[in-house]
Amino acid sequence: MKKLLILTILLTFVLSFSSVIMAEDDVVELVLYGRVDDTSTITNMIERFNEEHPNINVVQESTPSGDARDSYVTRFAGRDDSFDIAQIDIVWTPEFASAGWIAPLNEYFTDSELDAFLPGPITGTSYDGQQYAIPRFTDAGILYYRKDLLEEEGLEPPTTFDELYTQAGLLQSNYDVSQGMTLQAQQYEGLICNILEYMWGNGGNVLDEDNNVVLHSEENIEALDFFAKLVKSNVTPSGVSSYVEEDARVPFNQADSAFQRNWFYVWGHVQAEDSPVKGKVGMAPMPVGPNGEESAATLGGWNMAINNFSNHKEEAATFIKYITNEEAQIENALNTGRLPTLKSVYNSEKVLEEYPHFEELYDVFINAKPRPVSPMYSQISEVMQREIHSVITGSKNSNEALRDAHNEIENMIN
Amino acid sequence: MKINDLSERQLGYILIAPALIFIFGIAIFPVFRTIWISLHNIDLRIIHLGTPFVGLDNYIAIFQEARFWNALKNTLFFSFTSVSLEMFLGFGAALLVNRKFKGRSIVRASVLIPWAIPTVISGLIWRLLYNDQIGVINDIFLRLGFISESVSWIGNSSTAMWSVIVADVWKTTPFVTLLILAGLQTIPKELYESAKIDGANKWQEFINITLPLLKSSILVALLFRILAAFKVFGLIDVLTSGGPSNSTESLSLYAHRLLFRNLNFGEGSVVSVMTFLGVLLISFIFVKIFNVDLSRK
Amino acid sequence: MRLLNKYIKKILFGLFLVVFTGIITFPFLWKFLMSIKPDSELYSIPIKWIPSSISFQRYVNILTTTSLPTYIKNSLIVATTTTLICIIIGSMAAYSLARLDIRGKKIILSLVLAISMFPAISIVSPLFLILRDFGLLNSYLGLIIPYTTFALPLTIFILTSFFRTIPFELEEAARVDGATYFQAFIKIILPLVTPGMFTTAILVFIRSWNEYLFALTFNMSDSMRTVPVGLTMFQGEFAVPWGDISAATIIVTIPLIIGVLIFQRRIISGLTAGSVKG
Repeated sequence: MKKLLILTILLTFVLSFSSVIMAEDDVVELVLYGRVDDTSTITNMIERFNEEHPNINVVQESTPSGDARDSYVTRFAGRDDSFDIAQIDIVWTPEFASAGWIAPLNEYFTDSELDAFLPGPITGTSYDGQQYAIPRFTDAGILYYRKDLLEEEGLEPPTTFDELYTQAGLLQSNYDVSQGMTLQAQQYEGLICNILEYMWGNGGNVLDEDNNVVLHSEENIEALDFFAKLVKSNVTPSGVSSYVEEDARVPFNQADSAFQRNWFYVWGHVQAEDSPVKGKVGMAPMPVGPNGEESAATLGGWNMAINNFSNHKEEAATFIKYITNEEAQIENALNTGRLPTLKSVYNSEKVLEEYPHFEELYDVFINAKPRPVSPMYSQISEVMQREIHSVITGSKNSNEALRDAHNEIENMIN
Repeated sequence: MKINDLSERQLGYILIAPALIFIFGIAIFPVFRTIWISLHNIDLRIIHLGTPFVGLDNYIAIFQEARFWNALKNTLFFSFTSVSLEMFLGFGAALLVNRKFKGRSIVRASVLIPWAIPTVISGLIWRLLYNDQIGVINDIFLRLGFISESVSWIGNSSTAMWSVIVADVWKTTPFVTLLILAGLQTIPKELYESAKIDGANKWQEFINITLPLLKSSILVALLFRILAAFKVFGLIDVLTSGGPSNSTESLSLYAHRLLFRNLNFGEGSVVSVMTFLGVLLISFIFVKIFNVDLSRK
Repeated sequence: MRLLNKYIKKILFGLFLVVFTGIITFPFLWKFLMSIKPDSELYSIPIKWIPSSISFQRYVNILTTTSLPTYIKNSLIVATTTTLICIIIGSMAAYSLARLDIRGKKIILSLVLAISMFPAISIVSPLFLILRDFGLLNSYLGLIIPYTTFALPLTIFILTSFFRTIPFELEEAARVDGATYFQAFIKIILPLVTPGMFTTAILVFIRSWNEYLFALTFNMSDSMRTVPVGLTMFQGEFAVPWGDISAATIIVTIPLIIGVLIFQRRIISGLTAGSVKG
């Protein structure tokens, strides 16, 4: 009797183990963890991928956009292997890579495959000579303007800081728009995205090629002076120092502002059926400063990375390849209006038919710059946010603020 | 042994055991781990340094940060102001809805509404209300002539903290109201009747009967409001994200930035431990002032 | 003259009530207005107080095409279970602390209180590790357990203060009549604190219903998501669809308020039924 019992237990064990092994042989389950957005498009792609790859089954877990980073940090710091693919913000890549949380991808992607992508997103997602994430869609800061008003004045879109300021003031006083320009100047990451465009556009930078701090420079002081003038003046709304993307979009969308600096998502809103400014909006590169040579846009966008603790990296790479390939990017661009990351997609006829402006804005996208690529980035950004905000809302002058930020960042990095 | 055979003390320990098991079984590890991390150099951006024990180095580093003292100052100001207002208004609202009048249940329901809305959402609502272009507060104030032009409530260092406080008071006063209301219900009506016979006026009734008998309800409301206010995070994160220029950054917000943004777990845990010690100290003072007596008469 | 005075007082009181409730409910009413406005008027400048047309289509869409009903179900399960466990375990502990002769009461109460003083932000990561090791991520228990842990201090403090308002003679009388300590607790004292229990229940329920950080971190799959996290899922990377968020908030708030009102009735009636007659 006893023997029989032991035998049964043993047998059950063996059977259950073999069934586990068989299941592993059968289908690998991959968990994709990403922020919520354009879900139906990605859901359709996942379904198709699963059909085409009978040995892989991708499951999606999602998180609200604003708090995606918090849950990633918790999961990664806990060396969590219960998800395989992460959709991450471009500035997180060096941080997550240096923490050993995401896997290098050079094993799975050849150099020529990587060369097919826009250079900015690739630089932004590489760290220490290795590629750590594959850009799924990109984003860039764009100057939106009221085409109809500029045409009436017989003006071309502004190309310099001063032109932007005078044109915004001019349209504000001559037409029925109560604001000249809206932008993002709350103390948050978006503030850095905004100010960098003026700093870069004036020939300045935060870190140089050898990662030396170069924040406290004539060019940057001049750029910040201009930005502060813009924010404090009546050209921008009085509340602009608390504005995030939506706060800036709404007045422009309501035909109440002449210019707006924002990301590409705004295009879909201003061109919507019930939009008061439908057909009246143009897009231009950000203006250039007196010391600058070319316009600069801050790079945004989301990228696919592989969890370093995952047991299915190979399969995860297969999936990433699938949803970043040309076909997928065309579909994503058409359905969600997201900017593609493959150069070739900008030549696709289907895409150009829907978004003719891709052709003229291609220069903006290909020249968009990543924010400082450093594992210390979030701290660098916090210091700059605080100091810059004290210039635009307080009494500190640009010179002092940048000097203080410069010293603090230098101490932090060394 | 059956439960009915237990002595008073035995029963006492048995009744309290499940709560203690629950609380300490789950909370001890996270709490001690936070303390442990605060004594180690755990910076996930530089993992090649390992996680050496550094004693109080993280504490010293945090104490030298102006940002920490600024966050502490903001937290104290926020907690003191919002909790005082909440206690005052919550008490008033409780006395109000405790009266009998027509439509009392509507007032009761509306008093509770703010508290039933998740913090993230109420933060978003207030952001919208405070907006200078499409915000309804500016619209009303302009119409009433209180202000001559739109004010940037949350983008201005002189008004941002007060805007956060107003939103918090709106949201959490119902908590105080509910607790005080429940306390009011336990006061026997006979006490008021006999006081009336003795010729006491309303104010004397309030001072001599209501307040003393509400002592423990007030203490509980006060304690738990301070506890929550000192840890304030979500509301500020959504409303101002700590700005303008860190003027609304609270301790929890600072801890969050260190932990989840800078990945500096050592220093982030120090800020958490300091928050804990701050609340501990304040609670201790209040318990002493109220002199709660737990012995049996 | 006196009659007139009384009328004026009444009118003033009524006016005060209207203003008072008006201010308190204003943000909520504004939200309601946004939920029925047409999209094009959500952000009109200047503000449009009276919409040109109203529609309840958003409510229909949310209830039929989003996962909000699932979120509500999850939140109900988690919050109700948490509340029940808290009340049962909490009233036992509170009774012991308030009325029985045990040692170390002050220390126990201080420790219990201290537990709820750590910022949730630093607790969340270690808790994640525990729950993962027990396989409790993406489960109801994974939320119920931490919610109960961190709501128990509040429960115990409120109930202890309620238990202490009851005269000690009651138990002594019961003991004289031959009741055991346990019987005295269950049959005599417990019914007297129903108002306290209902108040505590409301507080714990709403607290659990609204909890965000743990829910965000521990339950990542859509089928296990709770209401607060679910509501923020309406937001895109930048876009905040106010119409939908407003409608969804109204949908989840109204039943909550009705539930609380029913519970509050119990507070009052429970009291009159078992009022302490000395």
